[in-house]
Amino acid sequence: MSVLFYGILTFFSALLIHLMVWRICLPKKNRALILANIFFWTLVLGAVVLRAIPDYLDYIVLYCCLAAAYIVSYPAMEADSPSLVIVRDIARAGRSGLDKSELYKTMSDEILVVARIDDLLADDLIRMDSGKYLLTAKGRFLSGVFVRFRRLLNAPKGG
Amino acid sequence: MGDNWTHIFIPFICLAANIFIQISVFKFFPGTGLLKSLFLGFACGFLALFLINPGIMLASNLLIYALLGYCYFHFVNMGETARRIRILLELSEVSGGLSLRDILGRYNARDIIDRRLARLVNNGQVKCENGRYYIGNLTVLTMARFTAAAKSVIFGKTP
Repeated sequence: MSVLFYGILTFFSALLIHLMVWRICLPKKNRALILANIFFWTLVLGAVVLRAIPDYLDYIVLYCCLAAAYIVSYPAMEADSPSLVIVRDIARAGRSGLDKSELYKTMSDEILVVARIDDLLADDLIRMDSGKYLLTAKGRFLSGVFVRFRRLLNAPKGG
Repeated sequence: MGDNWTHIFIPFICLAANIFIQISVFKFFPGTGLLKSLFLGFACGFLALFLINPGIMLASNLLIYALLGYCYFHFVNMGETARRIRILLELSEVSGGLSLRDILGRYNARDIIDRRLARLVNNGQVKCENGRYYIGNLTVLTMARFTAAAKSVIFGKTP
């Protein structure tokens, strides 16, 4: 049980630091990287302080998994997921329901696509050259991972 | 650290089983659908965990496996729904880059709304009657509310 207790305690400590940093001074770019750094350095501190606990390795693995689960969920909280916005708008419409055209009016290219292109530029995954967007080495690597995985699944392009 | 630390690998072995089952089911039984294949893979990994896990570490290994399964679900989901990944995939298909106009020609707001509505209807989360959309079940709506609450805690704003 000490593994669960200390693992969750360290995770919530990192979460608290993250919330304090975000509420005091929201980073302008590379937020996921800064978040990963907060979780990493909290782990380093936790691993030094709690080095005498039994099942030390379990504690580290559990903490890393908690941190990873939070980090992968973070982008969905940062950028509004269109599916969640659609569902929220449909729920707001209540019993009268919602027509697709109303969604077309509220969710524009600017909000759904251009804002994500700006994120990719801020995270150095793409770059702009002579009016065209090109992949950076980081972007090429990331797209390669997904291209290969989707090929393995025989799945078409998502989105 | 305990005397025997090999149990730490058990959730990872179960995750491998989860991934193998999920990919096999989706690839060879495409009618199953991505979401069902993910649930099936997760359930098989979960069963494997109960069969091979030493009882004493059950709680932490259970949580570690659930978190690993969640991360894998997110990875698959990113390839399926993330707009940034879709834009990266579009850029990876051309060598000379794409202008904003080219990107919007391949992937735009209308496309995103249509795909997501189709997916939500297909999964029973939204229903369509006489061209109007209504909430089908509360799963995604609950997620939308949870995300909105988390967002207000992290960023101090509500959508």
